[in-house]
Amino acid sequence: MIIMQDKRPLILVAIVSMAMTILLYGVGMFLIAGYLPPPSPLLTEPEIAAMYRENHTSIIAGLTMAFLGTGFMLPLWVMASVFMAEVEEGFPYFSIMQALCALATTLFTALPNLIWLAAAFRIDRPDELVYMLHDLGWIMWATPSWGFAFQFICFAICGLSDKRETPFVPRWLCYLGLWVALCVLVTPLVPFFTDGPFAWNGLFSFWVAFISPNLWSTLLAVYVIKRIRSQPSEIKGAVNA
Amino acid sequence: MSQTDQNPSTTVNFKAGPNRHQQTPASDARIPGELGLWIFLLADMSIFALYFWVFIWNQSLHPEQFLQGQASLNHSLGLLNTVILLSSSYFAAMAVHGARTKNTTAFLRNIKLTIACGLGFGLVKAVEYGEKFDAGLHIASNEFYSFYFAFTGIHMVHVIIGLSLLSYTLFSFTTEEKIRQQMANIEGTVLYWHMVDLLWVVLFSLIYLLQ
Repeated sequence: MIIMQDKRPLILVAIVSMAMTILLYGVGMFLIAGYLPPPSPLLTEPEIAAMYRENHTSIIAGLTMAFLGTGFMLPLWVMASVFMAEVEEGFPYFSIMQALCALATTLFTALPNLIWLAAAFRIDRPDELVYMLHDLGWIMWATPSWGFAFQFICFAICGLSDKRETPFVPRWLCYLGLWVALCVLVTPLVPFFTDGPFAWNGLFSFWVAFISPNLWSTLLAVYVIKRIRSQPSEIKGAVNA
Repeated sequence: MSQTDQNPSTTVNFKAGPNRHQQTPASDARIPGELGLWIFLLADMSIFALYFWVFIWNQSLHPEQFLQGQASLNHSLGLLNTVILLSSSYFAAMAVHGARTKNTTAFLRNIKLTIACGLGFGLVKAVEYGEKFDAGLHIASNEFYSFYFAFTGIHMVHVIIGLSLLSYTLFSFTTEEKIRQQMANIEGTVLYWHMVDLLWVVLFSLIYLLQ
């Protein structure tokens, strides 16, 4: 516990960073750009081109804000890898794997914003090019879930291997992480569908695959905050013992 | 799974964490596995329940298409796979029984049989998919086949994960001492396999039979 006390400022930085991501990405994508929930893949070429022209400034502002937000994703995941490395004791395979997959997740979350920004950049761009960039961005955003899934699997393997009296994460949260990895399993089906539950705005490819990791992250944040707040008494108890 | 688990007077007792591995399961009346595992299983089954609901809802929207789709499926292969998976669940339960009674030979034999059944299921599924591809049917053919390929494919991924866990169990837990230490992991793997079996039984009823 004393070791964790030393890391407390960095843990707080990591949590605040993730809060920044949620704020910037959430407000940018949901409220300003209007990109979440995703626009239907059934929208026609003129409808998509009109959407970019009519909401030109708000789309650029919202997407830029969300893009900045993705940069704040890494501190929490790097912190997770540090805790995982403690469990792995000198051979931090899953810790490094998790960190690399986190980088992939960050890139695949950030890059679509740049593609949509390119679509919105020139108002006089031909409709078919706007349409193609729009599709490219959404397929890149919704399809690659492997990085995310591997992150949760690596995290769960380390968490379930932690035999210390007070593991760095509760076992039930590890199992729930494995469930999240299965929930995002369906996203490679996105390019097959323009409609239905597996389309990029569908029940399974968007709602389940988007809500389940966020639910898990919220539970993790609540657990970490509770543990940090209860730390002084635990240290006192350990000293008295 | 075992006689101790079916005792109605059994006290519900979840023990999670490293210490629970050290208990002697045969003499301990309790629910197998740990709380986190049950949360995982229930959460995964909830997602499948959502799949089932979406299938039934779409069936009500396109009744003719779903009837034609069901008629085009190979019911014999579907039934064969159901029998194979139910048999695999029996062998998996017998493997746990072997582990609890410290019969290492029976444990390893039944794990091998479970794996063989899982591989058999995959083989039959591959033959069935092959038939559909030969007939020019694929995931984007229509709503029925979207759900058929998506749901059975997602279930197949679950089977592959289960086979990986069973293979790890087979090659890692080969001595009586190791089996005793890893009882929680063995029970967890078998519980997962039972869930995979249960999900297939519902999928088979829903996709192949329910009209």
